[in-house]
Amino acid sequence: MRHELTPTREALGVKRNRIRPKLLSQAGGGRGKTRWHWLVPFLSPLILILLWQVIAVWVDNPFILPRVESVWGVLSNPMGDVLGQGSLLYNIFLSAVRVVLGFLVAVLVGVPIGLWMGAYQTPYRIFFPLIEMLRTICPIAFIPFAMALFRFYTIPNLVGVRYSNTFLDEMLISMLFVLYWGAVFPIVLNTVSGVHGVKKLFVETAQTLGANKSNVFWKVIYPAALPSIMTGLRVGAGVAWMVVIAAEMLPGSDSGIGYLIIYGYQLAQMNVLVAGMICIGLVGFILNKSLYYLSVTVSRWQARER
Amino acid sequence: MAQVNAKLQIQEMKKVFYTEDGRQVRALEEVNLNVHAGELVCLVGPTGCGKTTLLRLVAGLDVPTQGKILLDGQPVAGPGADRGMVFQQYSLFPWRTTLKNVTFGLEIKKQPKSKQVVLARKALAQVGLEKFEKAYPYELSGGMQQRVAIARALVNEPQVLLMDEPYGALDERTRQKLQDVLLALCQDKQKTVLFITHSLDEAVYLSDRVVVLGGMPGKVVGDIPINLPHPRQRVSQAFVEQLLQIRQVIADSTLDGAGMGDDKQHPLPQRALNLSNATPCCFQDVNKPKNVTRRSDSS
Repeated sequence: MRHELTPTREALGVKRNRIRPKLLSQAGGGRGKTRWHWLVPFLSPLILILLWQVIAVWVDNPFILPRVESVWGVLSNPMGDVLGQGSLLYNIFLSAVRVVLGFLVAVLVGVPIGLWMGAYQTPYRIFFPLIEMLRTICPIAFIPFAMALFRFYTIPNLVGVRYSNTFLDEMLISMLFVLYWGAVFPIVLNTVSGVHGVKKLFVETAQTLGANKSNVFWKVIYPAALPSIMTGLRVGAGVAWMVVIAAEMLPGSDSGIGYLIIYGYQLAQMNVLVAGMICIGLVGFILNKSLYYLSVTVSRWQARER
Repeated sequence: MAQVNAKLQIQEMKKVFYTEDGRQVRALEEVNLNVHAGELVCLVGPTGCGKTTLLRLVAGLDVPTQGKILLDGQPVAGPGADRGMVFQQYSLFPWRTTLKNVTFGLEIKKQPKSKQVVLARKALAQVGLEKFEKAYPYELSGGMQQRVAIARALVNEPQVLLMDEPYGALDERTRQKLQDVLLALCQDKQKTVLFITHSLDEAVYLSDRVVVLGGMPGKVVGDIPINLPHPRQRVSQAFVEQLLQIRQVIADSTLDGAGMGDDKQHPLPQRALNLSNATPCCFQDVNKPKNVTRRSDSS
């Protein structure tokens, strides 16, 4: 037969592109990778530490700038007690659990609301102006209000238990609410813009293939908006992590990495303070990176689309 | 009535769009068109004459202002799987692999997973892409993407296949290859196809009938059966004569200001074709089919 259906040369010549983790290769620059190129990302932190130590020795005042080794003394013993407030690791854990809880509630609320508002005109027109206004209220400004509203309710109180004698006793509803407040708006806004960015062509294609409204929503709009939703989650988690530190520093809090920092300040323990700051940086870095890899995994197609 | 036999009937159709400042734009007026079962009909005509509008109306993506569209005698209401569509733009879902793109329609029909895969693989083999089932759209060339789109539409077994300039963005060689792919699919399955193209060469090569739309608002200005046997030779005398005949229809329709006059379909022009004079042009036609329509549009 004349119509031969073999793969064309053009078809066979196509290379398969795989997505590589970009963290190290990108920082290493394009050409000429040596066997030391993996070191490059660590270079600038190293220089910073060196500079810090030089200045610390020059200043020679542990109440202003502690030396590297005294901060390292705190960092190297994460399980040891810090100023009678529990270990470094435990306080990091408390802060992280707060962020995760507040963030999860924000995801559970923000993503469905965002999808709904993106997909339908009426809720968008009704609620979007309100959201645009509310989101400019800094979450920190909400703390006094949240404390007045939720007082010292904790998670166990919600189920009628006064003390559970676990870390849950440290989970103040007021603080979780503030974290939720900080995280939910980036999630909603990114989800909405993700849905609005779905090409009409894809919706119409699905329709001509027999898709009804719910098919279009779950098989086209949701997957097409997923990269944008993931961006929202990353931004939301970042905001929540910023806010938790600030919230823990305010009166009414008695645990967490932010509290450790402000407590260290009150006792003029600068090494604790700096160690806390470094922990914030590390945890924030890990948080962001893990969400980044999650988003790459979930929407692998999108990284190459651009 | 003889019309009852037609697979797809478009009757007295009219489409008016409203611009944002409230003006009316008449896209189609009094379009009558019958497509019979197993027929491959090409729609040609200048840009802006409403070809795509017509196809979208048949697909159910737009609603006609007036008139009826009947499929097997039943009026169409909204988009549906019985009218498959291949778009001009690359329309593969970028988050799905080739195979998953093809199974999309089957998933919606809730066919069993194993059957989905079997049918999709068969469809991919028909367009020559069985080796690329795990590839994502961004890994495919434009021609391959369009082949997957055709497979995705065909696996759904639509009553009518609507193709909106599917090969418009492809180079000449790929385009010709895919024309053969389409013809092979149509021979096997006796598909009813409505195919938009800007290329008269493509229209004559593929179709059983060429319908010329023209004017503003668009209407049918010519309906030319192509009775050449397959496989057709693009450089044969008969092929070129057909090409010229269609060109003549387009030229005539532009001259007497189509859309202003009577509503009946124009009869075929009986004017004798002077082949010897026209030969240089027709070779130009074969190579650059797009210019033909544009030129006759502006003249």
